[in-house]
Amino acid sequence: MNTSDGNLEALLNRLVDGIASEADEQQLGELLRSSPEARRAYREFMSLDSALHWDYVAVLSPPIACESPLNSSTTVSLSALRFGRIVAFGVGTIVAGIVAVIWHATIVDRPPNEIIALHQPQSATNAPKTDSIAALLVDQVGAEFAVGRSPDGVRIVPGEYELLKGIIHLRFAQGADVVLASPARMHVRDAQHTRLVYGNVRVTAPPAARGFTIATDAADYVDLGTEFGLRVDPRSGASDLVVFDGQVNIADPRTGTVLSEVVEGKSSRYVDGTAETAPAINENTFPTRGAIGFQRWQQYEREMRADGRLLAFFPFHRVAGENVLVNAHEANAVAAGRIEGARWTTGRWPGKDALLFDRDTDFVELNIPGEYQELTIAAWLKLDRLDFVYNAILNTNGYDLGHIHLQLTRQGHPRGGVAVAGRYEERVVGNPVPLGHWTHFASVLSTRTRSHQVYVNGVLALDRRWPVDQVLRPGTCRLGNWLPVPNLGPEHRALRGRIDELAIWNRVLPLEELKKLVEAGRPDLLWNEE
Amino acid sequence: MAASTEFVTQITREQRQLHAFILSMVWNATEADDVLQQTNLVLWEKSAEFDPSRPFLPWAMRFAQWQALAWLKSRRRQQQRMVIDDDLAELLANEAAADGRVFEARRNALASCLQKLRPEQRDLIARRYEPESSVAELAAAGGITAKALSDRLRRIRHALLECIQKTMAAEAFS
Repeated sequence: MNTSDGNLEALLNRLVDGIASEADEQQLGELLRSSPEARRAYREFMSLDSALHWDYVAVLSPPIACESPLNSSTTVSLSALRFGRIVAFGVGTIVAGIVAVIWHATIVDRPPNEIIALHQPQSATNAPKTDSIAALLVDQVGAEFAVGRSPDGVRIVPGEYELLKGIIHLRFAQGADVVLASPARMHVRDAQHTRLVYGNVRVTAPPAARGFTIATDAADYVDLGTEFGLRVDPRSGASDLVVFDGQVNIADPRTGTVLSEVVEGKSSRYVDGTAETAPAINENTFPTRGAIGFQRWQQYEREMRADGRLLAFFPFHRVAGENVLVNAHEANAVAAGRIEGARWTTGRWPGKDALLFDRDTDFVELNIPGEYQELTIAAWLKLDRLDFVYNAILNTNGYDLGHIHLQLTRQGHPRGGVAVAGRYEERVVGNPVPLGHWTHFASVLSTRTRSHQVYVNGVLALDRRWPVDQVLRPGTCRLGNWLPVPNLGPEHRALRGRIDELAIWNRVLPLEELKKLVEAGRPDLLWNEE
Repeated sequence: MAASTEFVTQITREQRQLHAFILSMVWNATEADDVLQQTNLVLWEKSAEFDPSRPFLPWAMRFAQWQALAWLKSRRRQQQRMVIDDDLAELLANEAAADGRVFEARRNALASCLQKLRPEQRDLIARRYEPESSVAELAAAGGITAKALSDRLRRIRHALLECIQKTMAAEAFS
């Protein structure tokens, strides 16, 4: 803004503060119509006002200590300006430190779960030669390898591998992703060449891995930047290929001559270098990256159902009566939820259900009776949009002391806690929650420490503290919405997105346990990179 | 109705700019929120008509302009409609759409300028822009007139605008 134009600036201030006169407005119209410079100043001023409105949380970031304050004489006693509301949502001294938190998720610094090599003496693994790693084992579920044919940790060096149980996901050095289901045996030659002796494999090769070749006794399969499934029968040696996308060339294993080109949607069978009629093959024959995540989650689900320290566990499985959200926890201390409006859809994996919330009237009502000293609430969400000032994940109906809220601001930062009398202090850290990605939220409430933390994907995102005693009374709650109280904060808080899994504990889960929840429920190892 | 990932990315990315423009039409931030939501719904419905080879913002801005004008009409804000008539609304929308990069740069500059405010300045701004807050309420609670409070806010906004200007000028030479 042209700051010499004090009149226009004063007029604009009155306008956004709601105290402009009709004469002010008329004068503004004339200025805007006649002067491009005035329109630019107006645009800049309105952009500032919009940004402050939009990012009011960021306004509260602590100052940079070494820099001097701006030259302005404004001083206001804020004690005189505080609202007189009783409860704490939307009030209080908020100290928001926006700190960039990088979600650590590179392939190498997060080793997969323990891998079992049966009766495996240390010397019998494929010992690593650091200069010849062909691929990394980036994910697995239930993997057991044969003696002498197992990886060394996550390193896949040239050599023999035999998978007896489970599914593994390898990423080769030039980018090809290979998911292998047991039983399978293969010989890794280098980053671009592998022999499949037998087993089922799904290959996804980006352009950088063009030419990635899987050899079999029957034929060689040269990937031209695509996705395909390949299975080799251990008895007959027949190789069956299905191309899901792109093109695969089939070459003679002895001469390298291209025997045929197989394109998207087509399949083929080769036996000893000779084409035969391809049988019908179901795509599900070939394991996906997600299949590893889904199997890992199913194991976790079985454990959760029997976990005596849980209050409720909603795995989100669609049942015949579609308006019921089943609490699968064996103790069954919390009744099933009642689904209102929210519709069943696909969850984190094909075959896994989730509920879609995309209308103002969508929610699931739950009743969590009783009073608690501690609570942990964890859920998997995929957000489509943040339409409102606050967007509810799980909020107690109405608003009274002890009620709990877990929600997101329009800026994508967590918000909520327990309704207490008086003020609280709050610290917001980290980046906004991404839209369109499966994300794990954990809300940890404690009357002992008088604090509330929200962790996003196992990383602290919100820390709120209050000075008074207040027991937790979740009571009747809405998942994905809020039953409002007139004149108390923004009324519309409907969630826009999917929820797949909700678990509630009557204790504080330490951070290590929260990280295990993320680990057990992540869609696949690379999900947070996408 | 099936919108592409690219469309979702675009609509998400331009939310702030659409909000700023709508605010310049309706003059009230909460109302601008509502008009933005309505605009988003319309954009969503019209997503199939969007030509991805053309810039997104001018296309979206047009719907924001119509929605804001319809809003003023439905609220019987005749006085405001006389100030912001159809021609001026179009002029403002065109100029805002052409201003995308500057808008982003100014918003980035604002983040560092907010850090330079004194704590009491920052606190006052926070109170003023808290959802549902109003100058009249704040002033009444503080026992001062709305005009006196607006004057205090004006000095802070002025400092922020100057700081943004200086930051942009400094960056232009760095």
